[in-house]
Amino acid sequence: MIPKIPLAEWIEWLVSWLQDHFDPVFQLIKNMIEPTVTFFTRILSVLPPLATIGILIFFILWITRIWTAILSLAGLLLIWNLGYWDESTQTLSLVLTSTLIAVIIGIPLGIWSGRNDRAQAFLKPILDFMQTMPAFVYLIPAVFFFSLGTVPGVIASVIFAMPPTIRFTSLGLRQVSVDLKEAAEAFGATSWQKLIKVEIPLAQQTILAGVNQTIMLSLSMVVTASMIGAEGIGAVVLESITRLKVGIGFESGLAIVIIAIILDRLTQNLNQNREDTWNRQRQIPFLAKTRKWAAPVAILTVLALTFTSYAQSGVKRNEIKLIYVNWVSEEASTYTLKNILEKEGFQVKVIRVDAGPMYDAIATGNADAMVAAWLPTTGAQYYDRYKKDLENLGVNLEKTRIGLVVPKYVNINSIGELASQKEQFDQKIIGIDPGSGTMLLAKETIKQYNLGMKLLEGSDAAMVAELDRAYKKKKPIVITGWTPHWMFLKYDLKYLDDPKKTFGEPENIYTLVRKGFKEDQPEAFKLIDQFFWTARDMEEVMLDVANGMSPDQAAKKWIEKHPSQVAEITTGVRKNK
Amino acid sequence: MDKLEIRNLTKVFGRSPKRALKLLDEGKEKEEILQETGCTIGVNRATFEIYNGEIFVIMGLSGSGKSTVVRLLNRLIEPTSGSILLDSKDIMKMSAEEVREVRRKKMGMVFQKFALFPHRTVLENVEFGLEIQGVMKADRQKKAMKSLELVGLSSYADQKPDQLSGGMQQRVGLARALANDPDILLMDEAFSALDPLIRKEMQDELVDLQQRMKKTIIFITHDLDEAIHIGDRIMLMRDGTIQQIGTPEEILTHPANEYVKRFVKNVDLTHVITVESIMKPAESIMMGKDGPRVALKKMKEKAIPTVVVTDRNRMVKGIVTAEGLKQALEKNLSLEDILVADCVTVSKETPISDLLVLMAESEFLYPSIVTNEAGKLKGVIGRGALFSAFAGYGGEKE
Repeated sequence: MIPKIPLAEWIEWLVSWLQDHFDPVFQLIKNMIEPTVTFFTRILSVLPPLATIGILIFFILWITRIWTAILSLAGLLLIWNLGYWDESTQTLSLVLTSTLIAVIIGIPLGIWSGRNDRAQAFLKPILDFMQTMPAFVYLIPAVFFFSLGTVPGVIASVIFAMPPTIRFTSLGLRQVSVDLKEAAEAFGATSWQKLIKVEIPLAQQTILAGVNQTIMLSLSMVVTASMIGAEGIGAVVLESITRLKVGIGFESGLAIVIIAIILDRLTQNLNQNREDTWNRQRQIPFLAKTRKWAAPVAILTVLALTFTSYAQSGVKRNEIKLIYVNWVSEEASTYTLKNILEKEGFQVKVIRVDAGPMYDAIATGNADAMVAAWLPTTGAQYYDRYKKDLENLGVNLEKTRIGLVVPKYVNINSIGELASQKEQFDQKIIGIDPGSGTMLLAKETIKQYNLGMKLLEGSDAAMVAELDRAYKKKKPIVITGWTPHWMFLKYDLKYLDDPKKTFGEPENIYTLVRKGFKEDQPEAFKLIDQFFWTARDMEEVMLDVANGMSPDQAAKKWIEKHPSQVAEITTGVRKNK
Repeated sequence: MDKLEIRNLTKVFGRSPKRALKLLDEGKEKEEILQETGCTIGVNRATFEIYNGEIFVIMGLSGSGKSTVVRLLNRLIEPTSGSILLDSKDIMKMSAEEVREVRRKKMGMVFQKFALFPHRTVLENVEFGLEIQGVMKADRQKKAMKSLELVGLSSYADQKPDQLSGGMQQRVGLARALANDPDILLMDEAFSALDPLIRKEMQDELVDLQQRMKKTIIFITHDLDEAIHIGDRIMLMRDGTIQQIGTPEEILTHPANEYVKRFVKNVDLTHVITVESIMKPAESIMMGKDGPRVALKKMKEKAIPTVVVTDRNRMVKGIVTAEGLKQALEKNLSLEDILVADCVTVSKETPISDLLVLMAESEFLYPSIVTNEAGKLKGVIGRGALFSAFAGYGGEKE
């Protein structure tokens, strides 16, 4: 037998080696990308939305046809009306930044590959790799190198979206007829002159088609990138998926479609004959009149305003980054903590990720604190790995429980009984996200009790939806459940007895902070350390959210209702100014 | 004076040109070298000169290496060995920059498929060569406009090339090559993509242009008729090897080998063979000095039916026939009275095919008189001589 090649281990070694030795490089890249995104966001948000929309439409009208402009106007107004304007500007900034980078890197690479057969042979498999490797995979190293948030999102988008620009540039150059290249040489053109005066102008249409593709791909990457904390509409879409909020999912999806269509039409029109465009413009007197001065004036005004806003705002220092795993329970606690902190004058940013990245972010110092560590069982695999690099501030919620849960109307009481009754459950146990400790324990349980049932992967929200459907029809169902969870307030449920203790003893939820946080932010540290509440409190907040309140609203409501508890948490904390 | 002197110019295509070159020197054949080294011999030790101000046609079938030769001259294709002396300076030894200078200043090129830049206007195309030399815009536009006027297309300056017909496009190509005012024009099958009628027109124009501007033109073609029509000298190539260099008539009348003979076999020589090569010395009498009796005596002596009449300066006046002389003697008429002045008169450069047409129009009644430009008598061609020339040279047309 040939032993398995330890490819995964090598890759992990490589990533950590790069992390150790090239950190300054990554920081430099990060420090270039982040301001770019911010810059675009500022440009788009320095004016009130309607004014920005007006200016955008003016440019669209200039470049495209009047109908495109009217439809774009309708689309942008709809986005604004639905309340996704801020998210849209963030998304657009992300797309613009990653497209900009993809073009700056991609076109020279495309030119290289277009003029050199060896370069093409070298680049082709790399491009294939970049495009076919599932986009999610880029997210992992991107997070390692650039921490969570927008930057790794941009990096992943660039990697994913750059290949068309390279390919089309190369193709465009190769499509330029040999005769023309020869003619340029025969008249004594240098290689550079040949490129600038003949090859690129003739390949221009193809190159722009590639850039168009790049824009579309980077837009499609936006949703994926929100899994590692990139802001924008993608985050809304992701939330609606994990929470199964159909309506919001549709709205935010629609916003992405509108942005996509506008960007697509714009770039396609750039590609058309400029004379045609100009002739068309001349037919609209307003455009013909404003042609000379309008664009510079608009651009200069917006730029001036943008820089003024930079000067006024200053940099957000001392912002506390709270990170949490994408569960409803942790959302409740994190937002409650956030609102308490904000009440005390701290600036807080919350980042929502999956379980693994959450622990990693604290260990690497990319986030400051989390109140979502279920121990000693659920989060064990991550905690064991990272505990050296983080600081455990102890329990913030006692006596959680994990187990298999059924509605009370189901006639069995113990996991042991499931094996014989599995037919009525369709041999299925409804689970949650594949990576979570709960799922690992559920798998172990199925094995130990020899249940022979299938554990379905999904999400918290999907599981509750499934439960809701079965509950309404009084159908038997078994799910992986945990306390605290608002479903216990909404439905009559019971845990199945676990005589073999495969789900372990009841757990507690711990607060973890990064090393050095205490020194950096002693007051915030104190508050976070003192954060403590009960499963009942948490479920209260969760139920409000489940009934349609925003997490911030639900958290504020709880804070108002429980002043003494809040006072206890903030004892001795000096307000931040 | 030689404009270009090419010595042992060789191009080997493939991965091991040095080995191929060695085998070539050992006298191996093209096929053997291909088998042994995988290299193809594009051009095989070509040695020739191109004179200043001539139209030098390089002719051959496809694969003969003719297009390669012309690209070796400006090093669009890098020669494997040999030397190319342009005004006694070896292009082979020049740096890339010097070669660019040669391409910019000394050699203009015209392409088979025109190779006009579709994204530029006609004028911008013509400007191209000057533009890359860094000539200021106003200046280069003026020069380009002049060049366009030369080919009669100045009114199309702002059009895009694809709005023009093939013939017009190639004129633009020609104007573009001329705009740099190069000494040498390299024309690679420049007229091959044109309709026959347009083609003929362009050939005539090129010859005309060459006479006005005195450029040295190197013209590639696979068409023998074209080569004969425009070439001062023709170089015939086969498989990268020069078969023969010579004037059109030399090549046609004295082919150097079997291949050339076969190549020119189908040519209608009557378009090429001129009156000069079949004319005979004329028997003539001088008006005012000789009378009808002298003429009749000459006819009897030589057994010919007519005699040419000239004045004292040997300027041709016409001919007299035996019939006319008889009448003159009977009725006592003078030479003027029986002189036939409207007989066919041609110059010695006239192709015999043209002569045939002229003589047929006068129903072959009288022989044709050959004169020089001044009208002085050079010779005479009877219909018998003409017919036998056709029997000998009229190619085997299918």
